[in-house]
Amino acid sequence: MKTDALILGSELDGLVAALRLLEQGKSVRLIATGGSSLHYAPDGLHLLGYEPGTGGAVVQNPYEAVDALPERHPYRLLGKARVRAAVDGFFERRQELGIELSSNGRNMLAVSLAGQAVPVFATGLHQAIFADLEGGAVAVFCYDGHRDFPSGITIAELRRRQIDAHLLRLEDPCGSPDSMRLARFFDSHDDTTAYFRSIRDRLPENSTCALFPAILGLDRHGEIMAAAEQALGLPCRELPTLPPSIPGMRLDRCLTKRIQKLGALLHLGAQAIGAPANNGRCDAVSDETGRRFEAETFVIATGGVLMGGLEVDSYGLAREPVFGLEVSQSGPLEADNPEEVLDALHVVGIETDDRLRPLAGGQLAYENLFVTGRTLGHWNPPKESSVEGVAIATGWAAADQACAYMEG
Amino acid sequence: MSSQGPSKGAPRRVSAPRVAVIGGGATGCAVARDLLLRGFRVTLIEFGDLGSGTSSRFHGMLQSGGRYAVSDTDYAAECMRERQIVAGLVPHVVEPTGGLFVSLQEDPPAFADEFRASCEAAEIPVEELDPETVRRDEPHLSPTIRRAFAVPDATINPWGLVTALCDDARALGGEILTRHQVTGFELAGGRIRAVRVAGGGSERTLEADCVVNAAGPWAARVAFLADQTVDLELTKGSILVFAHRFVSKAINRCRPSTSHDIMVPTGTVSLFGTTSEVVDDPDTTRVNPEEIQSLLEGGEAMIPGLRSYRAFRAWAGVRPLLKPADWSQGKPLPRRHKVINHAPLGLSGFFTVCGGSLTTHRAMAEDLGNQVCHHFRAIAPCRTATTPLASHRNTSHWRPAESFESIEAENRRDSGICECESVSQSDLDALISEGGYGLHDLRRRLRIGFGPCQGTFCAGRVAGLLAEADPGFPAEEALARFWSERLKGMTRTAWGDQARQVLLSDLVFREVMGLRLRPEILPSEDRR
Repeated sequence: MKTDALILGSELDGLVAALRLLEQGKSVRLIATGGSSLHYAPDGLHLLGYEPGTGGAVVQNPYEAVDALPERHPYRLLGKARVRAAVDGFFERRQELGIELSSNGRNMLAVSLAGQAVPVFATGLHQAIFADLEGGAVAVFCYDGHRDFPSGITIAELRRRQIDAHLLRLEDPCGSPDSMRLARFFDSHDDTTAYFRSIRDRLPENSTCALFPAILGLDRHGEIMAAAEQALGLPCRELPTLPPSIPGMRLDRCLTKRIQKLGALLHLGAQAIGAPANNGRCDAVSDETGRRFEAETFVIATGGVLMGGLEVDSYGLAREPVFGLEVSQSGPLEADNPEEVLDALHVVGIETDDRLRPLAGGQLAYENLFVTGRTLGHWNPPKESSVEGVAIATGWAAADQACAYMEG
Repeated sequence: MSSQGPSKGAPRRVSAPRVAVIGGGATGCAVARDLLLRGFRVTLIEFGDLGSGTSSRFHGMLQSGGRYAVSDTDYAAECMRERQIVAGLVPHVVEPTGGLFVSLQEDPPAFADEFRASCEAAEIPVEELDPETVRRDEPHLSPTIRRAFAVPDATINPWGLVTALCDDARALGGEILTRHQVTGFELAGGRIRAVRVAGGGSERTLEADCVVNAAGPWAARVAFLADQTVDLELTKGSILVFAHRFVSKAINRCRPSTSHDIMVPTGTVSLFGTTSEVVDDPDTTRVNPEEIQSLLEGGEAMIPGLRSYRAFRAWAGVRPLLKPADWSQGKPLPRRHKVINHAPLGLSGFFTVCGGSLTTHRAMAEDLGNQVCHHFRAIAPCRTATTPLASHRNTSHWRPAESFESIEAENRRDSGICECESVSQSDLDALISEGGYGLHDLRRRLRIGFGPCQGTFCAGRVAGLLAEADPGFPAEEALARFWSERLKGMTRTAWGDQARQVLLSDLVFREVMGLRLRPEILPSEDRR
């Protein structure tokens, strides 16, 4: 069956594009290998955290800093207004998506796993920020044997920042605890209020906040947090863990459920391998079994080098494996300086016009193909702290451009 | 000193001469053991951690000598003798893989017969194999094999070796000072009187009747502190690490030994080396992009398609060879080690031992020990070849073959910390409780951070345990430095899946942990 849109990749940008297309009445099929970089990422929406070219000064207002980004940066391609419209639009849909995000329109300082302050534009429900930790004792709960929450680091670094942090070790409730098992334990617990009551007497006196690793439920997170706050009688917050990231999985699940409800067809575990061009248009993509997926429009949300959407060879040259799109790179991805190699691996990507359509030799290569997220060139997720922002803005814009293409 | 050294573990005689050994590589550790067994009082001074210099920055072979059979038959024979002795002394750190010398289409055909004859002359057991058998047993090798020879090469874990030697030296009453730097010598009347060392935040003077300079590529710098000259040629060799054990035996090209011609299986990975470049600075351990390309080209000839496999790191070491007085530019330098007695050069009681290889470390120590005995007019024969080492540590640390599942299944409290190398929390707890270990020290002892993920997942877990054991542990600083150092080697091979691994590692350290890269990390922190 031919669909209006075929989305390649289940990155955040692909899910957002699917959502936006479905909302406009388009039929959507999504094919992906099944992985998503959301499963590694910490909580919150990072829009633009560090000033470009300043060696990492924290940005107060992300929108004001957009003009200082490189000219070919996705935010500059789309323009501030379209970025803001997409982020605002995503926010407006929080309730129907079941995502709880809060923002005051400026960056806040979230607590990293190593107790460092990292800027975030919107926090997930109960994501710990430094403002939460002021004015009293902070209880840091950890689970015995939960190796992906190395609380020793967090405690040491919070104390170094003069925060009165106390480590409280809890018994492993689920056997060989990893983040997924712990999250499932809470999701399936009949009476979480009773569980949190049973640990209440562990709180140090004058505690003003309790921190947990980010494992308090995958599907019932909101309820579980409410039960925790009620039983413990103080604000409860979550700290990031090593991957897998339960908060990232929550966001992935919320969006996936929503697009399925709106009628998206999902094919996970499929690897797109080829797409013959037809006079500047793409008609279909084949997977490794030879199945053809026909569509009017295509969104490439394959996650760049990190997720295999771009491949690098041993000569330091990058390629886009499905469509053979032209990759923009300033030179081979090898350098003496490790920081330069990292930067090169991040900024390498597909060059597009301002409608996110790929170019070849400066000319439009495909009129019905739109590139999003990490597969786009000219941006640097960790250096800018902008990964969810670029995903939402480009996913949203790609969907709107695909609709415009089909309608006009 | 008696005509016989004291028995093992006996207290040193207070009148025995005091020897300061400088350098905690295989040579220095073997010298300490040798001299202790001969009855001297010994202090070993190492400016970093044990075995962190050239001893661990090579291809990891315990050599049969085949590699030198044609060019230096005497040295090859010494390698073979020492290979047998070392494998008997520390079997727990030696893997007797065997070695193969393969003559490919492009290798000079006449060399093969010369090779076999030279091995026989050096008493290296050599057996010619049918090329068809080799193609069957080593299917990754180039099918253009014309002839192949099996020799008893082996691989060795260098950290396991130095740790075993040092544990034995301690058991014999020796003192081992790591993270101590020699800052100068006190001389009187053309003799050594004392060594000044800085470490642990203070400086002190160690009285010494004799100094042994076993500082490898840093030997000229140490000698300079005593106004002595040691003329070294320093050669940097770079090595690529692949996440595959392509071959079951250590493979050499059967041709005049040059570079880019050796593939060594070790643990679950393989090392391919080496480049060869003369350098001035013993701390030059950066691998250039051009060296990577040249290694890949050389590797493709031996293992076609090598470029498409996953390489996860590159690193370099500096080999110190002594320039003999009669040496002229362009002549190959002798491989065999040399002991320099600096007495005729104006400083009595000062010895330098240099050259050789890890395979011959014990023979180097024996020669040195003989000269030190001669200096003190003592009669104490070398006993290192026949005296077993003190019982060594838990050897499971050096055998990462245990499955991760079994670690988890056996004791669920003992959670696995490093998936790549199967290291459990109890392994770490045992070392952390000894105190004083940083992330890199634990890495060398337990292999955390050695596998394909290069510490992406385990470094944070280990830092958490260190911070719990010692509230003063600078976790953020230590992690940022550890990651910056690992990244140096990882970004040398950022292609294929390893490019993805580099970015995943970046995501974990920068975005999840909130750390910043430390580009200023010193060259000396660019480690294997």
